[in-house]
Amino acid sequence: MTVQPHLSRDAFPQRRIETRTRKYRGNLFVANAEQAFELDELGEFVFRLIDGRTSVREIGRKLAERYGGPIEEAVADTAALIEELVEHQVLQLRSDS
Amino acid sequence: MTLNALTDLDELVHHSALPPNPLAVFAVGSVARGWANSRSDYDLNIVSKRPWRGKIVRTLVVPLRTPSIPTLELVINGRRWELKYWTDSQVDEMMGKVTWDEFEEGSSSSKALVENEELFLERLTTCRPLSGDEWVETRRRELAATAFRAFVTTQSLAEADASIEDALGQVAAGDTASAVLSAHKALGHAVDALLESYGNYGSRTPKWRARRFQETAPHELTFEDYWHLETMRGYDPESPAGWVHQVVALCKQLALIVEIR
Repeated sequence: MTVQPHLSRDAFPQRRIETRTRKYRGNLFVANAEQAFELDELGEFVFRLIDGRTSVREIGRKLAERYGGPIEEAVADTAALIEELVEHQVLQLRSDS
Repeated sequence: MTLNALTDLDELVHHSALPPNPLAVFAVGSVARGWANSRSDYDLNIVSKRPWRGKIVRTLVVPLRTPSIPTLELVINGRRWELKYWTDSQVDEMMGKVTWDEFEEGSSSSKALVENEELFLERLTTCRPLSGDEWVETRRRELAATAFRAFVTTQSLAEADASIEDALGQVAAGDTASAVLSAHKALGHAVDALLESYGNYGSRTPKWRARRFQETAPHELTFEDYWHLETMRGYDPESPAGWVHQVVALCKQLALIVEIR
């Protein structure tokens, strides 16, 4: 079951400048100042598309295109991940989004 | 300079600089890598079972059970030779500091090796044996099975992160001149990490970074793009922060690409 997050699908996420990343033995880790998080393959795919210019909806669409499945579900999953990473101060939303 | 194993070993014997039954004698540094010029030193590592008891000019201190590395300098035909005498057990001990267990336990965030230890291990991969080919080959295989590459790559990424943090803090404080220097330093570390992830080591000797880059030719970044930033061709004195942010963006991108393995 997909959780419906509160994040707007039209928001433009970007990586925080303080965010650190490491690619270790095939897995991507992202970290804020205090904590590191391991992303799975889909999470990594989403994270790499985050550039401050691509909306949550567009990232979700690309996720569905790459891995299959309904677009709305992929957009919701994308939004859930991005919301979580925003909460953990790995990502931020562009101020005009 | 051209290596000649027999002649060079004869010179060492002639200068009473060779221990009895050395396990290996190998050239390291620029001469071994084919990058030497007429002013380059000739650096040699000599490994034996027992500690060197002959003449020395100074002793390097390393955090090993036998904590000293005797060194000797000679001038032969106008060229300076620097000899470092290691023991086989010291090499065992250094290998033991960079195991995957050590890496997984988290010592990757700190410096596992001091400079002379790291130089010894990294140079093992590119050395040219004058004697003891088999010993060198065995040690190379052992090193390849350790987490040495992961250690040095992680260390360079951490150095890059620290310099990025400095640069951004300095930009925020309006100290753009310092920020430019910090960003330049970050670039060096990030590129070192990229090259190290390919197994081309040398972050302790940044003067050879361009050579190492050309030798590695990583597909993630062209030499032209790297050199454009390294030589600051896009730097605008009217907007130093722009150059800093450009470098930071590349460093962040490299951190996403570089695989620690």
